[in-house]
Amino acid sequence: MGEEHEECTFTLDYELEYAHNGESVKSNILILNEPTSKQIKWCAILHQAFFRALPKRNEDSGVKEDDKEVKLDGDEIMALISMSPDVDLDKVLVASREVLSSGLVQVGGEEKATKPILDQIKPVDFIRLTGVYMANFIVASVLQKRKKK
Amino acid sequence: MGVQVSDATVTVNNDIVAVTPNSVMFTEGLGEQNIRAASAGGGQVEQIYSNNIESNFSTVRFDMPSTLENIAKARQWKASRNLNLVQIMGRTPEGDVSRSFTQAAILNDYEINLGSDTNITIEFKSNPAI
Repeated sequence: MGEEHEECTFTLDYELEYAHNGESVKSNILILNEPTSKQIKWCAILHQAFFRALPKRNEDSGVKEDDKEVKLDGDEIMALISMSPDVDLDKVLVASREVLSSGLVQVGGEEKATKPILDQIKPVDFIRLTGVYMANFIVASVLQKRKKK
Repeated sequence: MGVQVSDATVTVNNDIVAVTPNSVMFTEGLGEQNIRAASAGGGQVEQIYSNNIESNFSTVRFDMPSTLENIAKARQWKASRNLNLVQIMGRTPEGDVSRSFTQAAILNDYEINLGSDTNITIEFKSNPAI
């Protein structure tokens, strides 16, 4: 975790129903793709939410910055955001919903996920999905830069 | 006390369509049937019931405003031939009603009316409603 990917897979425990070639089909597989400038506004909200959620470094403690790569998975990112008094989780989830419904997610590898499709996902799984997306696409480039320093 | 279903959600190919209020209509696709009489003589008549399956198709019709987005959507639905899926969901305090129309196609050359309060009337023909 922490490396950039062009695409990753997210699996649910239940199936989502969607339209494909004139029929109603089901799948529990979501293919996530990296964002483009089209989603820049919502990605900026997610990007900033992560940084605001990070624990603040105490400059008087004399502790030096750790040069090791910081690895965070999706669940840890969402835990940071949920516990942070500086970040509103609802705004993060709304931004995530806008990003994910803008054509970046394919359900069953076949159809682009729209809001009616994403609305079938349970809230706890949507939070998990947001974390995975941020870990792979929003935060990954930042962590890569920290590693190179 | 009954509550009329008056505010249905129309979804075509996983996208919610903003329709003109009070314009949504569908048929169940149960077709047309016929009853004929067969005479056994002596005044005895038997009923012969038949189902004309040629008419077992559903119709979904709704109006939507003539916006750029809707003009593009209508064109895409037409281009998709019979590979569209239309879903209608109506909700009242007493419960829900939903229907799915598979292999839906726009068969007519629909009109796009350009004006301040004009609409595009879309009519799909599909498999019987599920």
